Amino acid sequence: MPGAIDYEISKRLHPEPPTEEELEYMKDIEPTSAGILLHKLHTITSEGNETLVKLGASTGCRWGDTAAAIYTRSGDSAVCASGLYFHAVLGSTDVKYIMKYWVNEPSVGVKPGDAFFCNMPYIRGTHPPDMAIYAPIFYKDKLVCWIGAVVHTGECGACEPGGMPSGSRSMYEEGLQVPALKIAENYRLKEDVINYFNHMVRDPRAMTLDIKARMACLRVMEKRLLPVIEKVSPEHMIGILRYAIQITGEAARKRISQWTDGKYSFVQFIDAVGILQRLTKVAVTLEKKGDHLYFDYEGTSPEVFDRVANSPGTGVVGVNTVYLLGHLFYDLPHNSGILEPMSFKMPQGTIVNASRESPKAGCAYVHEAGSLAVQYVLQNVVYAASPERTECAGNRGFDTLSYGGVNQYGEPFADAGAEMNGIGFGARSYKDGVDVAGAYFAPMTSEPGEVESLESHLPFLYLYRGFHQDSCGHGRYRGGVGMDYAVKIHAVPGAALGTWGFGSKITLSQGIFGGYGVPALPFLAISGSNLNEMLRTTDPNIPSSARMLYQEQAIKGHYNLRGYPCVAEPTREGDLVAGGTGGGGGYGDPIERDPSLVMKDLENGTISHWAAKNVYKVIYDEIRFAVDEEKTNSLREQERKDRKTRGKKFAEFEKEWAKKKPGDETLEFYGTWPAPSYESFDYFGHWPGVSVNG
Amino acid sequence: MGYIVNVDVGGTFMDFFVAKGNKYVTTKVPTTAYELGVGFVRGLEECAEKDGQTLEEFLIDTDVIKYCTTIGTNILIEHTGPKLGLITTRGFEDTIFIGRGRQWADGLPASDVQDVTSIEKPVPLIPRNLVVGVRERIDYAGNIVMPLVREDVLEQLRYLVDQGVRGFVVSLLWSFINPEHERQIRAIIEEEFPEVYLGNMPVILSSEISPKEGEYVRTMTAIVNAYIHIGFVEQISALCSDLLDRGYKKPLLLCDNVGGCAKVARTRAIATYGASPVSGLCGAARLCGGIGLPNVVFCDTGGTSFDIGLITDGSITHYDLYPTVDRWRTQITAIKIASIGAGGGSIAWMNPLLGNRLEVGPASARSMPGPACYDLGGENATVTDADVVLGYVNPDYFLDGKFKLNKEKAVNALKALGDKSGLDEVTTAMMIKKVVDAKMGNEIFKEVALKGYEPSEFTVFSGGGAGPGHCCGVAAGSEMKRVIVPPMSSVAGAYGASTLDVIHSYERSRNTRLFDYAKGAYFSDFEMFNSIINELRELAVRDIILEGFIEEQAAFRLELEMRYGMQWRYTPVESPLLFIHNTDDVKKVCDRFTEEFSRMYSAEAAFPQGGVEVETYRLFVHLPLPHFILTESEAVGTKTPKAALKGQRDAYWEKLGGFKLTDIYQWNLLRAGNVIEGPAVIESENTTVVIEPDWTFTMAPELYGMITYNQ
Repeated sequence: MPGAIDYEISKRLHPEPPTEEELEYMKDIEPTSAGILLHKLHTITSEGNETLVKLGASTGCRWGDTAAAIYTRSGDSAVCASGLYFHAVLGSTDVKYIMKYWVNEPSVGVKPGDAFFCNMPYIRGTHPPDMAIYAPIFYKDKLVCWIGAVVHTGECGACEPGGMPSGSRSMYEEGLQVPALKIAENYRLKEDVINYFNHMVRDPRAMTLDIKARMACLRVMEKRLLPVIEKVSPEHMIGILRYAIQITGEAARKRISQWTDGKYSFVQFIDAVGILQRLTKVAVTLEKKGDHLYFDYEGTSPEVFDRVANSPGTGVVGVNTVYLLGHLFYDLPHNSGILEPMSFKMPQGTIVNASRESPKAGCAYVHEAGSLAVQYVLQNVVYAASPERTECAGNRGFDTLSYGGVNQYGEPFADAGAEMNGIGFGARSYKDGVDVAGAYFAPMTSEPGEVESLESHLPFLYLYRGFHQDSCGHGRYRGGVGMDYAVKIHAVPGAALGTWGFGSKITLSQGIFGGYGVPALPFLAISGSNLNEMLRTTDPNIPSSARMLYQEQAIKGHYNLRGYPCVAEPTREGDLVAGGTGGGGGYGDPIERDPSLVMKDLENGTISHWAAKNVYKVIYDEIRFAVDEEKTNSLREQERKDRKTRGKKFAEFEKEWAKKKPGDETLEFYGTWPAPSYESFDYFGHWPGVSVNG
Repeated sequence: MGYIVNVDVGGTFMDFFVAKGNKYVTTKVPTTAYELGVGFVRGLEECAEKDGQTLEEFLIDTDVIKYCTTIGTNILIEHTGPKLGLITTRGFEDTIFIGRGRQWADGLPASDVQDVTSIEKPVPLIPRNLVVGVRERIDYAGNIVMPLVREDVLEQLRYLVDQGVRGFVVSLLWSFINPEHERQIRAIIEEEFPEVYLGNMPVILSSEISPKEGEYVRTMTAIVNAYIHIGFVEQISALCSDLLDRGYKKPLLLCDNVGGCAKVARTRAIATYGASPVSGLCGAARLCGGIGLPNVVFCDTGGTSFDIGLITDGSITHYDLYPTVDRWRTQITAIKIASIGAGGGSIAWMNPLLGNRLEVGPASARSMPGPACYDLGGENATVTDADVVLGYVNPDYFLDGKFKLNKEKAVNALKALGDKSGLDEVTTAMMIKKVVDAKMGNEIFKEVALKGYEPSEFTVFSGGGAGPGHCCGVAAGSEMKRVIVPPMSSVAGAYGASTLDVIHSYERSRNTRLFDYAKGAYFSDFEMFNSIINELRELAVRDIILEGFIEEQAAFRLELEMRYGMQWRYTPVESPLLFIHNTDDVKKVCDRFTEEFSRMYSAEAAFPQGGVEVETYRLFVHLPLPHFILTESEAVGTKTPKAALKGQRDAYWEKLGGFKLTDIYQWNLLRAGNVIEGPAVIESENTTVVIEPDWTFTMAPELYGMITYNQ
């Protein structure tokens, strides 16, 4: 049937085997000449991506959640420019869907000047706001390749504003979802299609501007590509795109082969299921054999059919490129080939490999947890060969505001807070993590913006925004701290405010070698407050940090500790919300930290006196920040002795630990305690003893 | 007419271009980084000597000195600025340390920050303990939400003074809309700490230095300016005194990054950052304007970097609105100069991960130890080594023969590199040339294309010591068919300085909805729009009068940063009108934006129905100065360049299948009208011009070279 619901396509994220034609055209490729041509192609995608960023309207443009890519004729990503590295591999399944269903369908077809809009979560692997448009590139009636333009458009007409409704109960509450729809024909946008989209969302202006940005990106890439194809021949272009994928896979294999063989495991918990505080987990066991990595997700929690807790497997696989291309393979090209030496086994019907109809709005949470688990198993793998590459993860809670309403100019707005782009990164084996470094998923391009640029079009008045004290994992080298902020609704009667993310109950990013994990993150709403009056009179008790807000509670009103995530609720003028982003994990024992660095942290406000005394065990003069070395050494020595007294043999500890179990309510969606098991699996990439997808 | 002296300071050399009438002399002296004034005077002495004068005679006969200085750059790099205190809105004291998150990448080439594991934020110019917050708040509309309290300000001030600060930067939220609180703080400082206590401690207000939206970039603009101000003034004053003592009594003009120059007293220290490549670009624009070339890419290829600037429709109008000064993002308006790590010293290497693909850069051998052929200890093969092995660069005539190159070392380095892939030294050298030419060509292509222009309509202006040697390959890589080689390419910045006029820019952010999306109506508060222009104009007139001009001599130009409602980025557009008086005028401005936007991104991308907004108003004032013009110097003579033919040697041409005996010419013996068919090589004292097969060189009457691709 044309345009079927097709799970098979969604599993084909890995590169397709080269076709006979591709093999033929690759035969005589010489590496340096290929490098010159690929540099040209990358310049073309960079121009496309910069066009997207310049013309787009959604906050996704600001955090680099955009991509411009060239795909092989069969749909594999070959050259990609993006701020968010998972776009280097995602999108392939969209093109493969078009190729499978619409190329030979007489009522649709694929012709020069066509463009297809796609944002179907189960095919693409992410959530509905990730909207892409793809266009075929023909040379004299021959389809040579595809190009694509992706922007995260913050509003997609879901049951809550901002594109990621925390309270969604099924895919049917998550707004616009399009498998592959022709949006342009003969180089003209179809106004009826845009008109339909605009009628489906709260912010038609942003929808239109983002679509226009994608089309401008595609047009400029096509304009640049055609003369290149003419110059090098369509055959050579077909060959070079496949070559790019192949050489990337080979390079990744070479690097992997330098690491230590073995089997490594990690579990990452998620403390939110929809808006409920419930526990799920992503479990990853990695077997590294020679030049290949095998990731097994057995033990992960089951799919939650009516809550925001799930992701398609495609996205869980794809998101690993964020860590891989930013850290371990930072010097490799960005394309599908990176997945070639990696295979993924995912139990069916789990939060990491969910069916089509369950809510996917929060797939990013699963991606974050999954990528954390993968980062930590890989840390174990690389440690022996490259200890300098050992590092803790930055916070992965995806924690930020979601909002919507009518702004101070009478214009509709609906989107997500920029603060998620201000997490602290993890500590390294030789130095601290970076404070408020960016978003983990788009480090090169993400920005938390500036308060003035946010207040200029949003009905907000920030009370404070700075370093989030003690939000790091402490350690010999501490993680970077995140952002601390409070926002008052200002200049409008009210707006809807909620949050995305998780991590309000448990530690997300762990420490390494005795370093601490990061603290849980609170999110507070204060309604019916006297804040306006306090501002009017310049009340000296107005808080200028979360610590002051929570400890002194000088603002009168109703305090509601809501946490991450929470449903967007009406919030009145004068009401305040206070949140924060998390820091990175700590590396090494905090009592081995140089006391002078502890004093520097105190001066900078990144840690509290409480932490300096109780975690780092430093004795110092609080006015001059002068360390008493002798007393500090003695206190630390005493702490070492105390630890030995408190310590237990590992077997004894394990025996006690294994008896502990959270309450039944907490485990409502967890699956079988302690480790859920499954009988049917999907495979991404080749798995020993298994033919493709069973 | 006396001498017009132009000085450009680079990392390795200080360049001098001295013009008198239609004659000129040039010289280069080593940069004396420890004290720039020493090299400055040394260079003047050499120029004077070249014209048969003593330094004193020369200076008495000098009308003006224009100076592209790196004093500010040095202060930033060496962190030798004064101890400053920052006063900001309470609750936002960490803003400059947060630095839009990715501060760790600002000012570094992309290749240096790819590895996220190794990132690091720069050491701040003001430490956190010298940042204080005062209780106050102004909102987006300029309303005072929380009034400033004098006692609170005093308490914070006393703390900073106790810490020993030597200057204050005041930067409060929304001060560019309502500067009242910033001004109150300055008044309190002046009242409580009169000059007798403070000495010459500056109080810099962000609303005066950079009245634009964005508290981080505005604050950093103010901080960077304050940080380099004191040291800058000290060094320039010392230089002025020295020149005065030696008999020079005319003005010293400082070149700036907006393509102009101004008296020291009318120049903001921060505006001098990056003036050198901007001056080079302006020189190129002047030269190309005189010969009817409207669309030109200025390229300056040195040892380590490749700088690009654009001239479009005969003008330089492409600005970097958030230029990074050292490691700090600011919001001064500076002419856009793109830069990548590629040049004569770029190191070639085989990438074992990617099939032993040969790559070039971004690492550079720099001047020490330099390319292998420098024989100063460098062992890596570089672009210059490849040029030597291919027969393009004459090892016995590098820098006019003052610096002998060791070809054998170049061969060895290339052999060692090529061995890994079974390539001989010549094939390896050719690959290096192809890779670096393509890399530079692609960068040019992207810069032009991103501005919405067709690269094939542009001409490459090939400057810098290593530029003309690769100009044909670079032009081919950027799909351009013409190259211009200026006669003074090795002192491009100094020559450019000679062409600068007085230019100032004044700007202010004020969100103005020319077409309101929510109301579906055009803007009607014409008075508000015009009052901003008048305010900027008054500032401009004040400055030009202090420069010794009258208002009637000035030409004004208004640029607006505009967007369709909700877009994150703005597009700068030259306004067709300076003032607006009715709805038709508003429509004209909107239409101009849509016209420019459509040209850049296609008509399909335009969306005026979504609202049209102005965010920043920028007024330029331009006052012409007399300057050296490269005029026609001789009548066009014979096509045959026989007199300039200095010999032949083997040079490698891939298109011709290998080494061929190639004609070698001497640049200064070429005469107007001479035509040289490629392949050929032209040598001058500071550069080598390589004319590849299928390209033809013609010496113009003005004695610049034009190389064109044979159709």
